[in-house]
Amino acid sequence: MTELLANAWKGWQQFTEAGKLAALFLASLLFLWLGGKYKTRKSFFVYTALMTVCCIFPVTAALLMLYQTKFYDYVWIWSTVPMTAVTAWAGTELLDGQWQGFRIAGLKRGLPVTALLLAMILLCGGVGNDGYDRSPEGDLGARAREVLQAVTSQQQEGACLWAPGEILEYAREADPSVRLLYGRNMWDIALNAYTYDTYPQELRDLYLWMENVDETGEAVVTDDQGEKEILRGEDCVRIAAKAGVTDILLPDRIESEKAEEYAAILGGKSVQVDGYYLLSR
Amino acid sequence: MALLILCMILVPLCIGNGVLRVIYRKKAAADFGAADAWLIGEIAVIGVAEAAHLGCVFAGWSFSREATVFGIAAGVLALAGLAAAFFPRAGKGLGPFLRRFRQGSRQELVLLLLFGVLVLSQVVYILSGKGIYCDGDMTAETVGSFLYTDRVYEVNPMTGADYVGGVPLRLKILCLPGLYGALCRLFALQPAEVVWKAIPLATLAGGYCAFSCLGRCLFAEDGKKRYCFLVLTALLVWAGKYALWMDGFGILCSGWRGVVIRNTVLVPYAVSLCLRRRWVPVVLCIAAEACIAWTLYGAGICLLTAVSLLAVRFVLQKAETPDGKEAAS
Repeated sequence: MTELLANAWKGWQQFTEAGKLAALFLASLLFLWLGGKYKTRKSFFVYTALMTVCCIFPVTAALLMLYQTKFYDYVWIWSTVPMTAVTAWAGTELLDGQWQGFRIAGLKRGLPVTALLLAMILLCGGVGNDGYDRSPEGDLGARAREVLQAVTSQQQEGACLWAPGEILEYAREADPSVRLLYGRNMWDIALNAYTYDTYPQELRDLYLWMENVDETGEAVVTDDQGEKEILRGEDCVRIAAKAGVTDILLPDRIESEKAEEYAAILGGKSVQVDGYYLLSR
Repeated sequence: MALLILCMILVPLCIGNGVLRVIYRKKAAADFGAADAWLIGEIAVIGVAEAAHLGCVFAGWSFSREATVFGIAAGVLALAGLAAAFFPRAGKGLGPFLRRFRQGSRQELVLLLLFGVLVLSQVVYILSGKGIYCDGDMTAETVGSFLYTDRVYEVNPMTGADYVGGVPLRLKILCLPGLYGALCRLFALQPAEVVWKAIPLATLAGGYCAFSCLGRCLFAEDGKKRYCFLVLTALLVWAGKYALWMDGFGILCSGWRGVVIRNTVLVPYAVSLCLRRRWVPVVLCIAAEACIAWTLYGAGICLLTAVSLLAVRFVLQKAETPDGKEAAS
């Protein structure tokens, strides 16, 4: 319960840090209340105010978190609060009052208030705030698809691929016939909530090696205790081969001799594919 | 894709019309419009998809069979709903909206135009694929796995390898991946097109239908206020694109997720139905949520919202008004 309460408190801070539409929503509630506009739909207003208090107050927030199951984080209890609808309701009442029923006669007061409201909405929100591009047509997606196409054209049925995260991110969505040593859930931990399956430490090490490997084929990683560990390419390729990997895509920062050496360990050959070495059994 | 979008508009509209006829029979429900019919139709489609998906999960059907059963059932229901349209209607349909549009004041038309521009910009944004947010979500991979293996949850969508521990049953029974997969199979489309483009468009439309119903409850027949409400809602959707839990982010960046459909379509619609005291469709919303999102054994946000609103209404009636009615009811 203590953990749940702590999560509820931290969640509220996170909720208000990201953007300020929550503040605009609280101002809307206040406006509807003080302006007496809530009376037309009193039950809706009281319900919204009540759920807002429940979401902010840690004890009731923790209870709501229990109700929505631990599958979801704190922020999702705000699903019970019709924020968008109530903010738009208050905005409509405000504009209606200032425009005197949306008439041209209300232009003098209505226009500045409309501009102010618009500015408030835009300043409180995050229009144009992307910060990610996961589309298949996006730069990263398109490049990964090109590489994957080159790889899959050389693969046989039943092949298993081990590649850097930027390729694996798109692999299964681009081609469901591609089997992977590990998938996106290796680094996107939230995805593990959908299955009972977990990755053994051995595969985690392979992931760390692939993402951190230098030109000599070694990767320095830090373990859970904070101690540094060196992962050697030869060992990792052997483990991968034992796990059934038939194709390995390596970043081309690795020396070509090393790539040849790893191809020999895998029992195949090495070819260059669009900025990577493809080792195939 | 165009055919799928056309079907996503017409099929729920026909089914919804039929379902409203069944629920309300000869009692003409004057406060039900085309938006209601479409939303009820969407909920019915979710119900059909759930039934087909359960057949797949528990009876060991192949995924092709699930898709076929879903396609036939949805088609039959749509035809039945279409036939019901020739009888006296349960709701108002598009008539009043078109009449209002023709007779509407200049201000109403301006607001409607503004709303249309905002929605159009959001449609373009969704179709551009610039805002697709997949962290913590594997719907596209899951749908791809269903289609490739012709089985549900046989292989791990993340790797393509056989499951060892498997998937929790309460996730397995959720129907959205099955529904999206069935649409891919029926319309010969790629999972990415259906999951990341077509479905978010349906969620966008469903969200605005639900907000439109809510607006009608809040402002009754005041068209100017209702359109202003929709314009502000559309603006807030754009502005709310900054965080995962905001309605705007959900609609514009991850409209295929169950929680997003719940938050932006089912919950606002359930609120509008509660305010109108239309309890049977509220039950449908609660059931639909249980089919698409992880709930506490079926008890989700729609149920909590409906019960809370009912309780608040009851307490307010007891405490205040002698005749037990709200001012706008």
